[in-house]
Amino acid sequence: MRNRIERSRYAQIALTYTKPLPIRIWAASTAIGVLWIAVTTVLVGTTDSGVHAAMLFLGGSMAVWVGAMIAAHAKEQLADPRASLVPHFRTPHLVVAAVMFLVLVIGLASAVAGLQAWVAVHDVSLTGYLAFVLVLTALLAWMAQLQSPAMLIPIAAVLSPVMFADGRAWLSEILRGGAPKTGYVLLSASIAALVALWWRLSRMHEEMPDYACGVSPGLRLKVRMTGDPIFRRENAAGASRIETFVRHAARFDYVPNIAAAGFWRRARHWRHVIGTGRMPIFVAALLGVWVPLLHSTMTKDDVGLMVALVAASMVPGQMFAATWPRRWYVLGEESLRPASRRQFLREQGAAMALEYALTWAWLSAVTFTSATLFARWPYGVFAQLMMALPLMAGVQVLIFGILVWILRFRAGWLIIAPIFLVTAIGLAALIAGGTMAHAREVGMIMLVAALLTVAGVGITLDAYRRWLVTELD
Amino acid sequence: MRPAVSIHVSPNSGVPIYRQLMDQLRAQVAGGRIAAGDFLPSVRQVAEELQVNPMTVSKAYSLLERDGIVELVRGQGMRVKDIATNGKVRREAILPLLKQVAATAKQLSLKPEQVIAQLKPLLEEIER
Amino acid sequence: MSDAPIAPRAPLQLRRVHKYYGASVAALDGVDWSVPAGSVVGLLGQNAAGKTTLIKTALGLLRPTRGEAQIFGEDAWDLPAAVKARIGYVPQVITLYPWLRVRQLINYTASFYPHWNDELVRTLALNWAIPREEKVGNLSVGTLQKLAIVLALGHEPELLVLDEPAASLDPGARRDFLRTILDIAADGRRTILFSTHITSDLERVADRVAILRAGKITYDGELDELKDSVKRLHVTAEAPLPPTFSVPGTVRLKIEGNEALVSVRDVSEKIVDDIRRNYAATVGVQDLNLEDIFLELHHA
Repeated sequence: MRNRIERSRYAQIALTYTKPLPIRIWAASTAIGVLWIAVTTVLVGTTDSGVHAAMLFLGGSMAVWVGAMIAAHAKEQLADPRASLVPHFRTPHLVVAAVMFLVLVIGLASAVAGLQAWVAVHDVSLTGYLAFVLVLTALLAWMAQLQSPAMLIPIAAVLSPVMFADGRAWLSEILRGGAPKTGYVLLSASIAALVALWWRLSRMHEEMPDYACGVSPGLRLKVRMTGDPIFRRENAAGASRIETFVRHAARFDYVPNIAAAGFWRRARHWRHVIGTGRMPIFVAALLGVWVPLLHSTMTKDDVGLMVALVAASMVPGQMFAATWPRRWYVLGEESLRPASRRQFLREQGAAMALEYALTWAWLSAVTFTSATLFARWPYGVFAQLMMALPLMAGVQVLIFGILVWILRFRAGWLIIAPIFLVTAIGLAALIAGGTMAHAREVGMIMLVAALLTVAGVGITLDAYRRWLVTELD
Repeated sequence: MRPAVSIHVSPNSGVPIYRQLMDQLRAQVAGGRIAAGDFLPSVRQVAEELQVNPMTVSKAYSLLERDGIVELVRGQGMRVKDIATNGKVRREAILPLLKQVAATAKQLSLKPEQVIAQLKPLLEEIER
Repeated sequence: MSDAPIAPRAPLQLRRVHKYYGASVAALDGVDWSVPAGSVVGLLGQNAAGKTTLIKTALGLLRPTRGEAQIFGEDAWDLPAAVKARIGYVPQVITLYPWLRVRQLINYTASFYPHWNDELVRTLALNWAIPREEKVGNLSVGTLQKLAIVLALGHEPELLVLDEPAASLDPGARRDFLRTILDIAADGRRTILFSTHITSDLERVADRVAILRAGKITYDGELDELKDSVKRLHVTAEAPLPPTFSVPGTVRLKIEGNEALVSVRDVSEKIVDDIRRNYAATVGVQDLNLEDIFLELHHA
């Protein structure tokens, strides 16, 4: 009798990993991804090592992501009063999480590495590969746990070898299995970190500072009760000093009255709360600084070019895909401010467009300048960037339209999809733009840019039409 | 003159507030605690003191006016009418209680003589 | 049971409003309701009766599947700016910008309205002990609720709509809130609608009550009239009461031998006398307060 209850308890917990729709979507995409890796690996066979490296990377990323999600899911279940009050709560949850982790993460990583080894192009050491995957997973999992900017330090430390040629050589040694001891050390360290995380989860209680950090706040956009504990935690986190500084709250010390102001004045006013404040400046600065850093460690010329193109193609879209859905929290109330529905939607749209355009301009300007300044042949790089620019601009219009179109839907999981969509589109634009600029196909670039712009405008107008009949609350 | 009227209403009782107000004001007028010619406190004053909706108070006042207990004097408020009608008011005020006494007597199967026999000494006691 | 005549420019009006979620779930099932100007109306209903849906549909946040919702005579879905400047709304779920300080949030809210009473807001914030320098994200639930109410009052709206406004307030704060409502209602030019399941609050301030049940308004009229007409009768007969014992307008009936408890919707002298005569019984009439009335009307 007791066995049956215990077994059903484990089964119930396992179900929490498979039932929610977002997780099912994740599982489906991961399965597709794995299948694709397997097929590609086998098809490509012994020929191209670049593709194999990409497969390894992809497989490893998926394993890392799955691991971090499991840790985050476990945290959500254990950072809860029930963990302390319900008997036999913690152990089964931790056990199931650990089992999931072993099967999915280590299993996935091992499968990918094993497949590579079997096809025998790369000498992939299982230890080394697993070490990589687990180190990154441990970092992400702890990041999800602590949600503290202090985590950036160990992440930067771990990623720093990538910056230097010697570092990169060392890393590939580990991957090939040429430095087994280092591999084992890294493996042990990451396992220790993960065990430490599991131990912390088993001890989770209210007094801990990381108890209150919402793990996946954006995934639930349905309007919530005042007093909802998760929302209150988010609120408390949202009032941190960093948030206040980044959001530039000081602007609100004096807010001019816009009741009778014109359209553009009002649209600019909305930017106060639609935008991300000073965040674009920080991101731009970060990327701008990263360029010379990369240059000093890499021999390839166009690394600065790459960064600039990435910044100009996908970063703004990603930023807004991640932050705009949160507007839904206040959209209903804001829609009751004195303005007709059409007026309101147009102003919001204009504000969002302004914000997007300015962010893009900032990011592009800073990264283009940085890339040009630190390139070995500045003129060449500058020319390429300028040629690719129209395409980058055009694709932003398209991305904006798509984001605004998708934003109408309030399903939680739709937050993640746009980010990946933006990344995919941005990547396509980057590759196309980079290639065409390199080949000096200016005419082609202008044509594609024009097409993208027209498509983007069309989608935006259609989105506006649909927004007019969307319930705002 | 606007006397401070000591009224107490319970909003959560089954009796509507306006009715409670009316009953109490009637009783006070009948009992002489508010003299004929006196002005009732303003609607706003009563509403603020009792923490109730002013419309309820003004409803009570206009019903009292309809019943002839008070009259509206332009610019000054509600003035209590003279004593001549108050006797009737006093008799009407005690009627609900008497009805209850009668009903309870019937339930207990008491005869009218028995009830009156019990009532008389009580009334005489109060007079002293 | 609706006795309010439909005024052409009533502050809030719903005509044959249906609201469906999906194909089958009817949150509002034919609501005909209007709120007369200058009144304080309480919307009463069980949890999940649809009070929030009703309010949101009336304000144009949700779109009725069928029927019309109007505010001051204008279609609620497409309210012009001038009308929106005359309404104040305190939602049940309060979501504000956590990274702003209270005074900054007040500034931000004020910036949208052509008319804003700084003095009023300052006084209220002071009386209700809302810390002006504190960040909104750090406020307790009760303070957050008070802040939301203050923000809705700043532009001195003619129509104030509150959805479960006192749910998170302690008794002292609730009393303060009711006092403020009374102050606002005092001049008779403003209309206040609030939904609640706390009947004692309603009894103090509301002059009209609307009861929402299963997506329909089952009572809409004066609170006093409701209290005057719904009563519980204690019937004591000399002989056991027959199973055919019935009273017109019965809401609930319980017979036990010689006695019966009958809750009646529209009590009158005639009904009481009829029972006395037909069943040779004594009838005690019990007054019911709003909570009792609500329970009686909902017991089935």
